[in-house]
Amino acid sequence: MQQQVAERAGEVIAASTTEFTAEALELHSAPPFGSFVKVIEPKRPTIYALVSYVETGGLDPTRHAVARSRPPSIVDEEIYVQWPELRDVLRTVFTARVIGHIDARGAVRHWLPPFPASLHFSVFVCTTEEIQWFTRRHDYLAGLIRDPSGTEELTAAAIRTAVAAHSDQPDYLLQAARSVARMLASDYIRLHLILQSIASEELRQ
Amino acid sequence: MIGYQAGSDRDLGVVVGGTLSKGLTIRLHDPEHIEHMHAGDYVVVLGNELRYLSVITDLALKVTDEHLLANPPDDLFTRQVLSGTATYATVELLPTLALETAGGKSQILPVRSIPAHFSRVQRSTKDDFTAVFGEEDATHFCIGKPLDSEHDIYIDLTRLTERSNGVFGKTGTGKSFLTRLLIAGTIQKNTCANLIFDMHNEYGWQGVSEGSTGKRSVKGLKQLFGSRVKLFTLDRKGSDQRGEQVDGDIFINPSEIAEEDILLLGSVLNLRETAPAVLSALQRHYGTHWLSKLVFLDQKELDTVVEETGANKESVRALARALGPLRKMSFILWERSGMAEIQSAPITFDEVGEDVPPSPVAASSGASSQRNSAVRDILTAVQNGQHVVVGFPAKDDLLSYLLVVNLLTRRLREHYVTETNRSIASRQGRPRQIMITIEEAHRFLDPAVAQNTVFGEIAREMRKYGMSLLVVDQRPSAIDDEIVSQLGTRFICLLDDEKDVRSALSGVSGATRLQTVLASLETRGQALLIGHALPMPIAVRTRAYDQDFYRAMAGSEQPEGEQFQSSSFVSRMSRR
Repeated sequence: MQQQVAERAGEVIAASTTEFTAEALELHSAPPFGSFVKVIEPKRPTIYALVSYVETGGLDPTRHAVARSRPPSIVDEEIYVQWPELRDVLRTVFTARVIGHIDARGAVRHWLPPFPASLHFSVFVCTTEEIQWFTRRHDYLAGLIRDPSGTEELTAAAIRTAVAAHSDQPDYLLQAARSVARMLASDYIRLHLILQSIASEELRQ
Repeated sequence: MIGYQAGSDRDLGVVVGGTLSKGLTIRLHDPEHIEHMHAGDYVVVLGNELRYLSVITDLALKVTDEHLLANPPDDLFTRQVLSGTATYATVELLPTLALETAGGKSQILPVRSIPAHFSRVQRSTKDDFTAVFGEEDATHFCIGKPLDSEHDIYIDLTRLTERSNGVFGKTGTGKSFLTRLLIAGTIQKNTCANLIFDMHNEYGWQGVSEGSTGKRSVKGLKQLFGSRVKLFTLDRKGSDQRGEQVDGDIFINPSEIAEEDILLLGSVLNLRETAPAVLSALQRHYGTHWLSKLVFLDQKELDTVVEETGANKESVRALARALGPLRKMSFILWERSGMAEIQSAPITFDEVGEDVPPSPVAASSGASSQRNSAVRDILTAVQNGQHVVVGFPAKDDLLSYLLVVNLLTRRLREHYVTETNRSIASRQGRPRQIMITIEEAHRFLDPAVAQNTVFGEIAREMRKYGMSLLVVDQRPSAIDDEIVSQLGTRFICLLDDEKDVRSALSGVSGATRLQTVLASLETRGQALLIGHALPMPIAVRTRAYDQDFYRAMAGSEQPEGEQFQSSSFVSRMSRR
């Protein structure tokens, strides 16, 4: 299989220990919700995170976008052709929840890195191989489940992304789900929500 | 990763809790495995230093969140995910003993500690069973196999016969087979003499097996062991009809029948409350002839008796009427002609009717002197290293059974006490250890009579005189609790009634937990074994009573009867 090259997706514009926000390189082109991203810095751990929130709005937070369509001809994509400056006054930002890092010895660590991401550094979308490598174990899900702001949606999305990266998908899905079931042993309602979101229709027959 | 990982493929689960008094809780690694765990199965808990051999007493399904019970999953995927995570199975164990292995040898220790959290649990192995139950040798006899494995379980017959024992179980559960198996074991290993009161004639010559394929005959003790077993009968005619090789008849002299023998029959004969007082008065007055006098009492004599003893006339009449059935007993050597004072025919009682059989010795009193007393015959056989089976009339003649069993045992007890004391004084060999098998044991051991009968005494304190009982009964709850709790080893087949279960297990540690094991036994051929002859309780499938068994028994060596025989003892008996 040809080695994938990590694709640059944005630039860090705010960061804390548990998450960072980046501006997407282009309008409406943030990495998908639940995708794995990373920030590489020299002599620092590579930070791994899950895209947990995407938002598009005006550069100036005090100015709101207004409706510009003129049906039937000027709708949707035609609006941007009509008013090309929109691409300069609007922007897409995304937030990523930090789920682990690669330490100085090159080992995957499913816990928070010692430093937050540095501002203005690049955010890359992880390749399939990287996702496979990072998600061989499921402990990173514990952080998502424990996080008070964490949602079942994000956990489910992370599992879906991870499953897609693995070749033995049914087995991997079962093992991941069983890990989540142990983490949510005392909260069947949350567990049920997650299981409903990760199992395909066929599996739920 | 969170969760329990199996240390080895053989690991069933890990200890997650428990107490010394109530047992351990095991969480199974694979909840699907629960179907392969059975109450009564043996597992071993691998402690740091000890192996705790434990019996499964209960199984449970658990959930980590009660919400799950309200919304059970309806798809396979969710069930697979939850299995072993949010849903799991636990097993309750009762550690029965601990094995300490040092230098390749295992030492059996009582359980006085418990293993630490998360100790691993595995199926017990053949080595575990061998370390605990030993192997076939001079005293160890194979009694069966554990419910879940094919290892032989051996019982120590020397320890068994040291104390009184019980075989309990409702009808058709294999009590008689188990009893015959045990007796065959003691004969083969020659650990004691046996006196078997064979109420239903199923031990002596041949028994009947009621299997799934219908009824079939199986060999009795006489067929198995030949001359080593002496078969006596009260009912020669019936024995002949069954084609039995009988060695002798049982005859009882009326003078051998004591007041207490009659009182034991109280419930069967419907004796009045006044009976004990009347019996005492008659015995005081007429000595050994009291019973003959009473049984063959005529109208004229009634007045004389009343006059001489001062007893109430109605009470004497009622007692005589109640004792009427005794006249029918052909094995009692009524010496009517020897009683010169009897001139007229006895009172004819309605209950007795006209069909009173002629007494075997009524016409020839001289014959009675040539007939040996049954007690002497039995003792001679026992001292010769033989075993005695006493057969009874085929129809369930409870009265004859109770009378003969009580009387013979009482006389045996007297001899054993005398001889043991004599042997201590003269520093000679003790009389041979004897085990007396009684069916319908509650008749002799119910709380109302146990204090007064010889059986209560044997069960409680005749160990030092070399006598013990093998009590066979289907209603252990009808037996005095004190007696049951004194039983050394118990063999318990399936019991339905809760009272019987409680009673059968009375005085056993961990009894409530063993109740589950007991309730899970199959209706036939399985038994829970507890007590003195076994290092720990165990549920077994009893050994098959088949051609292999016959061959094993046939291959046993003849006993060295001489070592038990004390010529002076036998000759003293003969003089009695």
